[in-house]
Amino acid sequence: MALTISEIDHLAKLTRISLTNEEKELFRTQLDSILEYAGHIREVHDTTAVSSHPPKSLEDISESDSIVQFSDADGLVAAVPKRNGRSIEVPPVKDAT
Amino acid sequence: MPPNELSIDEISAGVRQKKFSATEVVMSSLERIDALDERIGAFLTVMRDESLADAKRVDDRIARGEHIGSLAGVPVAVKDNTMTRGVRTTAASKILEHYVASYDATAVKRLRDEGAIIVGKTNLDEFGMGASTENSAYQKTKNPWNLERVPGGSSGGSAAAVAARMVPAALGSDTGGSIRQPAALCGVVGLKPTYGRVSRYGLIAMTSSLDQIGPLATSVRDAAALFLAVAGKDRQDTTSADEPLFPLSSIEGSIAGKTIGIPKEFFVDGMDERIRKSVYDALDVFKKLSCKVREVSVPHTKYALPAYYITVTSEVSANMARYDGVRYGLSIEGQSLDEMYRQTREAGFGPEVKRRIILGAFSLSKGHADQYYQQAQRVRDIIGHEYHEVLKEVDCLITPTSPSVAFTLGEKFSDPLTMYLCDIFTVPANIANLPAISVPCGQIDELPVGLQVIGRPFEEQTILQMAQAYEQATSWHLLKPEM
Repeated sequence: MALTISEIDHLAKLTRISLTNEEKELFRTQLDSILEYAGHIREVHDTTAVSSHPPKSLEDISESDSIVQFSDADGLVAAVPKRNGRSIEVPPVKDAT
Repeated sequence: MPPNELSIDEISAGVRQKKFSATEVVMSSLERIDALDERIGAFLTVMRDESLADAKRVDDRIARGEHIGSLAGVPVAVKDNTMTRGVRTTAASKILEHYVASYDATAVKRLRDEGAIIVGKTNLDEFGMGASTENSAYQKTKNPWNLERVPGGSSGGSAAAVAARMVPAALGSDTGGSIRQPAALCGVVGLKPTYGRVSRYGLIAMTSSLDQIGPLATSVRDAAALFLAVAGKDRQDTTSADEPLFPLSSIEGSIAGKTIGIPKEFFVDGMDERIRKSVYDALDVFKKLSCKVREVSVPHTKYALPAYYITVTSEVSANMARYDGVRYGLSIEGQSLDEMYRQTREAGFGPEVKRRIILGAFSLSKGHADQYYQQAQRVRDIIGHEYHEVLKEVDCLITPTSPSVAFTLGEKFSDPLTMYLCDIFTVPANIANLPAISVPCGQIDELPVGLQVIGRPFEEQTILQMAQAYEQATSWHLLKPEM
């Protein structure tokens, strides 16, 4: 499986990462060798064992919704990089036109 | 011997009996860190004021005659991907450089509840992605046995801090070997509990289906003491398990009659013969302890590492999506939200993180997901099934922990695939959801070798018993690096 530069570009765009041309070329080479190695899993065809070792106990782990005061709500707000009072400020979602 | 170099039992008893104070123990730990860490680089944050204040609180409680837990006054280091309230928690990433945790991880809280004192946050590969701690955005940790060598990773800071006796014990996290491999390379004990044994609440997620917190210590008993303090069901982590635990004293005693399986897939042509010999010598010790040893086979083992890396990168691509510059961490302004995301992530993530995000997005993408991510999950099931079947026939499996001793700084840094292969012996236990422990079992060129004992799910007691009996019969764990 060989990745092309345009595929790397597309994946970077999907994952919202900017890459330099040097990084793209380096990643293309490195990811090729990693995918070649990882691709060996496609040799495995025995699916008879699938899900034959379920967790010891399967139970409903969902809990009823209840509002609990977090111990340090101010600490969470203080961690926000840009805020206006207790509101989070973000740039426009769409480019200004 | 300074009090911080005593065993956990000795420190805890000494503090309670007022032979020395928790403050004195913490002071001796901080002095050791001051003396050595400039050369080793194990710590990203030393919690000097906080730890002394916490130690004073323990001393005050003892003075008032209050009950103190099993870790009274024991200095513990915590890997910096684990939340410590009010203290910088970076995961060794620039994207969290100034992030201060607003709560304690459950494991940290449980340590504090038992009277332990957190003295600092240790270095790691960024978000746990690596096997040498060279992927830290801040510093390269050196192996105390040889400062030109890596300590292993990703819990390399915790392993180096324990090996250099800066702390008697530390917490690490293990996704594919990140506790056991650095423990092996630094000559200490490292335990990866069964997935679900220790709450992941407050552990910064890398691969949520595999990440697990565990202890590193200078002895099996100390590792067990730390494990028992942090293990158990936690309502804050619905993947934590409500399985019975056991008393610390139960790890002592005879292991006569236990059957050890030697998986032949771990002993292949081309492996380091000196490591093979160290493990075989260890098996002779077990035979003298009246254990039975037999060869077993887990044929799909060779697919564990490829399945692991597809799983890890897929989950990484999802888990890293939260770092967007909006709610916490680094934020680089842009003209639009999308530009802010891209610029923040470009500046905040290191190369290995970006590589894994890109590879994960590929493995999950339409047209490739069935061949990669879905297939990796099928392989995971098959491998799990094989290991569970083999472990019906034997009490535990024994293998080397690492295919090599500590390698030179920079030796594998530029070739990610070569670095990934460092995990080849540790990953199967994660993929099969089994507990595993690494204990020192030899030295090659004055560098430690680790022995891995793998057990059945939630049977940490058995592997701790095996490791404890081996440790009592040998003296490898008593060797210390000259600092």
